[in-house]
Amino acid sequence: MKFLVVDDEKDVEILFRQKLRKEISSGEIEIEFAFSANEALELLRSRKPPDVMYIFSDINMPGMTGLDLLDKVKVEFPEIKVSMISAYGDGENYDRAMSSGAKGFFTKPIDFDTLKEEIQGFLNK
Amino acid sequence: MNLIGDLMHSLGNYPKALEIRLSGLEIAENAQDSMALGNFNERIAADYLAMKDFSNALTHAKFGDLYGLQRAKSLSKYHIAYAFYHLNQLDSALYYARLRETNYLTQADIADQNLLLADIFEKKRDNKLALTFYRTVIPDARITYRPVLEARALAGIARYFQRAGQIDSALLYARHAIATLQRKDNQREILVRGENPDYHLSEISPLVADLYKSKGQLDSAYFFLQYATSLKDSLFNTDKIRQFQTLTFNETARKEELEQEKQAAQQRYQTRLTMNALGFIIITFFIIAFILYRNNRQKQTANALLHTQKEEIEKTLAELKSTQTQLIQAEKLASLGELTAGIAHEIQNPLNFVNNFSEVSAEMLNELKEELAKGETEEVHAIADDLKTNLQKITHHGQRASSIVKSMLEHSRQGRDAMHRVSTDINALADEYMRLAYHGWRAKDNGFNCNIETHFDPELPLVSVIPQDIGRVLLNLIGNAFYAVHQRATTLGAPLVGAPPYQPTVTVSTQKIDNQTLIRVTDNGPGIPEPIREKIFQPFFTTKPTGQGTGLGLSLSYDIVKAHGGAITVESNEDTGTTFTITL
Repeated sequence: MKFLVVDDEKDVEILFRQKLRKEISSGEIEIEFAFSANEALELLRSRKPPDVMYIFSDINMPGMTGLDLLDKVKVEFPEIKVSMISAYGDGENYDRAMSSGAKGFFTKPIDFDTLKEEIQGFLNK
Repeated sequence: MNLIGDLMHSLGNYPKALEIRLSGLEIAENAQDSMALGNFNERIAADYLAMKDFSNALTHAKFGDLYGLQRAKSLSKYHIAYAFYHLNQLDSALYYARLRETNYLTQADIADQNLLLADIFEKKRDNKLALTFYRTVIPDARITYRPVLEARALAGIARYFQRAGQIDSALLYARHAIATLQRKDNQREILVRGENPDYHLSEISPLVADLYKSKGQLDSAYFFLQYATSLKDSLFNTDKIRQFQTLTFNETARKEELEQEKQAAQQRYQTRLTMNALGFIIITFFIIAFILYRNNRQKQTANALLHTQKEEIEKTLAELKSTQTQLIQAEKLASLGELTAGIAHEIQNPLNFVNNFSEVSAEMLNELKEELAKGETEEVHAIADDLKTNLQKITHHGQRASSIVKSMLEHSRQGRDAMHRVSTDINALADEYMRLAYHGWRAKDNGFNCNIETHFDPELPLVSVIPQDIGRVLLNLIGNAFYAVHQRATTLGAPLVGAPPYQPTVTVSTQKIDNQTLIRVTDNGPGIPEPIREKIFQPFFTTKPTGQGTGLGLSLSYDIVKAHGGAITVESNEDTGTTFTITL
C-alpha cells in the first residue's frame, strides 16, 4: 500500500520515516515524498496505473497549494484518497478541503497517533 | 468815472476830466482790469489831445490801443493818428488812420475818419484829396448830427478855396462853419457830446479874420481876431494851465510811487517766494520724514508679523517632523504586523519539528532499549544514527526559530546605521524574506495561490548591508508584488476560452553585473499606469484602499536603498507586469 506525503518542508520525510518506521519496515506501507504540489502531480502522472492509494498534503506551499492539488487529484485520479495537513486549522480551509472531497483534515503539529489510526483504518478496509 | 470825466471834458474842464480819469486809470492799473485800462487810456488821450499835449496823448493812445477792446482800440488809433498829425508825422498819422478797421465803424465814426483823412491830406498838401474827403464828411455829419465835424469840414473847404485864391468862396464856407458852431441847438448838441463849441470857434475864427483881411475888410478881420483871442483866453487861462501842470507832476509822482510800489511788491513777492520755497521745503521735509517714519513702522510691523509667522512655521515644521517620525514608526509597525503572520508560520514550522523530533526520539530510545535486550547490534546502530540525526534536526530547527525571532526584533529596532552593516549573503536574505512575505500574505488571504520563482546568481559576492533594512525593502517589494498579482487575479474575471488561465507569478532574482549586485522583484500583475509611475516613491502615495496601505512602504524602501548608496528603479508594462530592481 503506497502513500504519498506532500510538503515543502523536506525534514517531513525524516520525521514520517521515523514515526512510521515499524509500518514501513514490516512492509505494511510504502511512503513516497514530494516537496511541492507540482512534483506530486508529476509523480502521479508518471505511473500508469498510479500505485499511490492515499495522499497526505500540506496546504500552505509556494506555487500550487494543497487545496489546488486536491482539486486536480479529484479530477485526474478520483480513486486516490487525499487528506490535508495544515498549520492553519481554520474553518475556511477545513470547509474548502471537505467540500472538495478530502478524506480527512489534520493540523500541524501532526498528531502521529491519530495519523496512524487513519492509516490503519484505511489498511483494514 | 469815465462818465464824470466826459462831463468835465464836455464842460471844457479838461484838467478836471484828466484828473478824474487819471485816478480812474490808477484804480484800473491796481485792479489789472485791462478793459478799463484801455478805456481810460483812450479817454485820457482824448483829454490830452484836447489840451494839445500830443506826446502824452500819443503815449496814452498807444496804451489804449494795446489794452482796449475793439472800440477803444479803434478810437485810440484815431487819437494816435491825430497826435501824429499834430506832431507833423503825417505818414505815421496816415498809417494809423488806415489801420482802423472800417468794418466796425459807425456812420458817425466814418465822418470822423473821413475828416481825419482830409486833415492829413490837407497837411500833406494833397489838396484835391483833402477837398474830396472834406466834402464827404458834411452829409454824414449832418445825418449823424455832428455840428463840429460839419464845421471843421466846412473850414477845411474854406482853407482849400483860400489856398486856391478864391477868397469869396472861402469866406462863404468859413462863415458857414462859424454859423454852424454858433447855432444854439448845435451848441447844446456839441456840449452833450462832450465837446466845447468855443474851442472850435476859436480855431476857425482866425481863418475868417484872415479872409476878411485878404479882402481888405479890416474891421471884420479885427472883430474875428478879438473873438478868437477871448475864446482862447477862456479856454486856456493861466489857472488851468497851472492846474494841468500840477496834475502832470502828480502823475509823474504817482508813476514814481507806482514804480517804487512795484519794486516793493516785487521785493515782497520775492520775499514771499523765498518764504514759500522755504515753507515748501519744510513741508516736503516733514512729508518725507513722515513717509520714512511710516515705512519704518510698517517695516517693524511686517518684521514682527514675519517673526510670528516664522515661529508658527517652525512650530508646524517641528510638529510635522514628529508626525512624520510617528508615521514612519507606524509604517514599521504595519510591516511588522505583516511580518507577524509570516513569522508565526515560520516559527511554528521549526517548533513543530523540534516537538516532533524530540517525541520520535523518545520513542526511538524505547526501541533502542528493546533492540539492545534482543542483542540486535546492527539495529541498535541504525537507531543510534537516527537519534543523532534527530538531535541535529532539533538543534537546526531550534536555531531557525530563534533566528526568526531575532530578525523580528531587529526589524523593529530604531536607529540603525552603517555600524550595523554586515557582509550579507543576499541570496539567503532574499530567500528568507521571500518566505516571510509569502507566509505573511498567505496568512491574510488563504485562498491566494501564487507561483514563486527564484533565480539566484550563485556567483553573488557578500554585500555589506544592514540586512534587516534590505530585508524590509524586499518585504515591501515582494508584498507589493503579491498584492499586484492578487489584484489582477481577482479583477480579471474568467479567462478567455482557449486562452491559458492567468497564473499569478512572483519572481525574485539576483544577478552580479560588474561590481554591482542586482536584486529584482518581478510580478505579472496589472502593471503601474504611466501617469502614477513617478509618484510611487513619494511619501504617502498609495493606490490601496484607505486603511490598507500607509503610502510609506516604497518611500522608506527608496530611502533605505539610497542610504546604502544604491538605487531602486522600476519598469512596468500593463501587459507583462512590473519589475523593481535594487542595485547595490
